[in-house]
Amino acid sequence: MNPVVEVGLIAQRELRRNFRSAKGVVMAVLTLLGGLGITLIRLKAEQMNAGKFSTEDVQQLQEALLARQYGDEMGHYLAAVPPMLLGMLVITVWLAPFLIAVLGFDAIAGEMQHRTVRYFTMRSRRASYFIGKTIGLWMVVSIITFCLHALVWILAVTRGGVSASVGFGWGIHLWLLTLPINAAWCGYAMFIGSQFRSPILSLLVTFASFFVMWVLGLVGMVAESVKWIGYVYPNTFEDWMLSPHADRVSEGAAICVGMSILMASIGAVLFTRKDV
Amino acid sequence: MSPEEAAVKSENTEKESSEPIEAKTATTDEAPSSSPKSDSADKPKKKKKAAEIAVRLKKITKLFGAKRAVDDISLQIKAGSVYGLIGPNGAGKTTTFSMMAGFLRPTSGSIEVLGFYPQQTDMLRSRVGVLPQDAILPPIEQVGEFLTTLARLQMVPAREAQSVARAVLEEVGGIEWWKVKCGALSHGMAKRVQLAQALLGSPDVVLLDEPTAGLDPRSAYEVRQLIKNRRRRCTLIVSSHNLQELEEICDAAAILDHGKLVTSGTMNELTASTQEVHVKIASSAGKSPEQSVPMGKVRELPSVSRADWDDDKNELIVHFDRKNADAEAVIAHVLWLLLNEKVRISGVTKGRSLEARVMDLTDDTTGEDDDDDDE
Repeated sequence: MNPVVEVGLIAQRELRRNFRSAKGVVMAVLTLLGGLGITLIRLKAEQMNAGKFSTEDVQQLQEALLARQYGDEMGHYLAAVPPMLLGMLVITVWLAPFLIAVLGFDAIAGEMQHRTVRYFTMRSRRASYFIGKTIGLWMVVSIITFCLHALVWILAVTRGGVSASVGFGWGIHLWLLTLPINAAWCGYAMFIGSQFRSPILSLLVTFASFFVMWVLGLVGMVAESVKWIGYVYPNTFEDWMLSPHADRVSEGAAICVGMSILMASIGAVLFTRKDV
Repeated sequence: MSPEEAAVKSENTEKESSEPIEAKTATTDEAPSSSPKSDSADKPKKKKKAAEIAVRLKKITKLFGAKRAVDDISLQIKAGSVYGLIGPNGAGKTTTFSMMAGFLRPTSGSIEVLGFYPQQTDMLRSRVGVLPQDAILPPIEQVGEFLTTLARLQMVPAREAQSVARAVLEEVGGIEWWKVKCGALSHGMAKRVQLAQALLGSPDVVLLDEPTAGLDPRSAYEVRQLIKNRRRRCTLIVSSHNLQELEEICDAAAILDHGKLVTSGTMNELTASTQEVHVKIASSAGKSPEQSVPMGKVRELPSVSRADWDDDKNELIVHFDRKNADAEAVIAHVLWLLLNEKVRISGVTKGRSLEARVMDLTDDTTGEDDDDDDE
């Protein structure tokens, strides 16, 4: 059987599994409500401050803030992005590891614990099963993220005074940037989670690992001499992918996708050798 | 094929027409360079081999840490037979079974199923069906969609997958559960769905681990009938504690204990039904059963090699040479003699029960370990 078809069938099943489980539904709803709530609060604040500052003042302030965070060139480039959309990107990238850990910790460990995995490993290559699960998780997270972003695009256009072309143009652009970052986190989550038969252990170790990676990311950000340490933390590449330069964006995306492929490959090889 | 023909030979008597295969334990899903091969060019040759030996275990050992769950077991299971794996808890049945199914890798030794390593999923995916013990069905998936997904993974075309799934669900009597979530099924219903997935796509080899465990008598009977219906259509390997069940459905069996193969053979060989006749004697007026039996005359009967008396069971055990007489002839002689001597007979059986045989052969200190010893 074509491995691509095999992976596709497993990924489809993972999609169904997540969107039908109470955990998947609750996580999706919480993520959407949380993101929407923050956006509405922000929108309300903008409306309350409307008229106090001129549009140019707000634009200049935003550019200054972004320049401090990302540098002058990027600050200028990103100043054109509606703040609501940029804020949503930051929120989703920040929340992605949490969402992925919660959705993915039992994807393999849960099926190993109850031996449900046995119905599938005798019909699909172990590597296909692992990769299918990883892709399935990535699709689930991407769909949830898309729904959240889409709600914000609509709000920005209908109530935030953002033109449709700017709102949807930048919106889609920023959502696309989350895809490689999510892929890297999914690779990590599946790799770590598949090392355990106990889902709770898988969850704890996944969270602990993600926390360590966040700390490494911080160290890499503040200590120039050990900047490379921060590269294990996928969110580091958010800055790269926000760059106005296509090559920088491609590099960031390629590194994140590479991370994902690497982790999924190592995970698949280990899973292939495992007793199930 | 008669049950006698569906025999099993232990590895030390290996002289099958298929060539010995120098196989090492596979380490990946991919076909290893040495045989068993997955080359499509070899398929006809493999098919021929598969027609003779469905499953071959060569000096299989499985360690879990320091624990030796399976110890140097060799077996050959002929295609088309119904084969039982018998033994007390902790004997290594489930571990052996799990290695045949490819869930576990042997620590040493090799296994071939239809000429391939069990991990060669691509070669075996539609040819081997497995009912694993205690593998829980995915609770939030509907029965129909679960079976359809499995059918798709077995390379059944998308447009036929549903009908194949429906057919097998109907065969196990569960077609009305098509839309029911697996998590909502009762134990008996879940067992049937598990059996359905094992029979999906009419595989050549079906491995059934405790197929009737936990079922009520009626459900167990129906599952046994299902298994019987599959006889001769495929090779069935059944692991069970229920010895009467195995005696009823199996052509041959292996008895395991403490991870070792104690014995293997056809059911007739195991129960000695072609070597022994047991006659249960009732008390007659003024005489104990033992006193009423003329042991000397019994021993002088033609073809009788030995006659013993079992005090506990009040049974006369007549041993005979199967080369010179069959059990029916010996029964006729013995009964004729006993009736003439006015001995009251309660019953006659050929050989011992499988249960008695297993009790004789296995250590009574086992049983404290759960059989679920594969993890």
